[in-house]
Amino acid sequence: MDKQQSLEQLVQQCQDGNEAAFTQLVDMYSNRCYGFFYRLCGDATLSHDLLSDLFIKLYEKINTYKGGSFERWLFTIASNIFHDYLRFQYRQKKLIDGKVKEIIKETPRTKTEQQMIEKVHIMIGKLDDDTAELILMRFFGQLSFKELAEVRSEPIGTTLSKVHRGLKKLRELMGDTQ
Amino acid sequence: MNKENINELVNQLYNGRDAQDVLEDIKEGDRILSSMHQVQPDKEVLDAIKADIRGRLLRRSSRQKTFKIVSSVAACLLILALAGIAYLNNNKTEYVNNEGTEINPSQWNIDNDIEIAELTEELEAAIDDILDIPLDEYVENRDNVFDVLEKEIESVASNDNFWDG
Repeated sequence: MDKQQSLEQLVQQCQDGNEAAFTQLVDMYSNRCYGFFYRLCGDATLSHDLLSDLFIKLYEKINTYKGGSFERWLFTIASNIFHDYLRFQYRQKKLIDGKVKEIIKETPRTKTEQQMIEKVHIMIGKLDDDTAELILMRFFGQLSFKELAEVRSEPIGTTLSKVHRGLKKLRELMGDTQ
Repeated sequence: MNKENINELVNQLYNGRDAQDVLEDIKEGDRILSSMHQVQPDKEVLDAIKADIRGRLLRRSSRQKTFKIVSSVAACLLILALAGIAYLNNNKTEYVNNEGTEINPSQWNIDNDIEIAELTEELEAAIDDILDIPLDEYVENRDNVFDVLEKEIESVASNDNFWDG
C-alpha cells in the first residue's frame, strides 16, 4: 500500500467520523501548515489561530474531498483562510491603523521572538505577497507545479515563471546579505 | 521534494541555457528554504484543536442518535396511523354496503312500487277520516252546544237561590 492509498484511507475514516483518524491527520499536517502560516505572517499567535481555523474547516469540509491530491485540497483551504484573514485585517487596518502602529513601535520584542526572526524569513517578507505565498505553498504543501497551477487556476507556465522569479529574487537577496 | 520531474517540465517550457538557469535558480531557492529552521505549533494548541474536533464529533454523533430515535418513533407512528386509517376504511366500506342494500333502488321491483302506492293511499284515506270525524261532529253539534249554554245561563239568572248554594 503506497502513501497516497493510506492517506486516502485515512481521509475516508475521517469522513466516517473516526476521531483517531482526525487526530492522525492533525499530527501529520500541523507542522507544515503552521510553517506555511508563520512564514507568511511572521506572527506565532496569529499562526496558531489560523491553524485552528484550518483544522476546524478541514473537519467541516472533509466530506467535500473527492479524491486527488489531499495536499492541494488542504493548502487551498489554508490559502483561502489566509486571504480571509488579510481581508479582515485590511478592514480593521482602515479603522485602527494609526493606533496599532504606535503600539507595535512601543512594544519591545522578546528574545525568543528576535531569534525567530531569521534572515530567510526576512527575505521572504521582501517578496511580493502573491509570490511569497506561492513559494511557501509549494515548499510546505509539497505541491507540484501542476497542482499549484490548479490551485491558482492559471497555466502551468505562468506558475513556474512566478515561482522561478521568486526563488531567484530570494537567492539574490540572500546573496546580497552574505 | 515534489512529485514531478522538474527537469522535464522546465525543458518543455524553456530552451537550452535558459532551462539550465531556471533549474539552478529553483534548486538553490529550495535549498535556501530548506535551511529555514522548522517552526512548530505549541502542543497546547494542537491539543485544543483535537479536543475541539472530538467535541464536534460527539455532538454530531449525539445529533445522529437523536435523529435515528426520532425517525424510528415517527416511522412507528406513521405505521400506526396508516394501520388505523386502513382499519377505519374497512369498517366504513361495510357500513356503506349495508346502507346500499337497504336503499338500493335497483333492488326494488314493480310489485313493491304498487304495494307502496296502495299503502300510501290507505294511509292518506285514514288520515282524511281522522280529520273528518271531529270536524263533522263539531259542525253538527255546534247549535246544540250554544242552546245548552244559553239555557244554563237563563236558568242561573232566573234562579235566585243559585248563588246561595
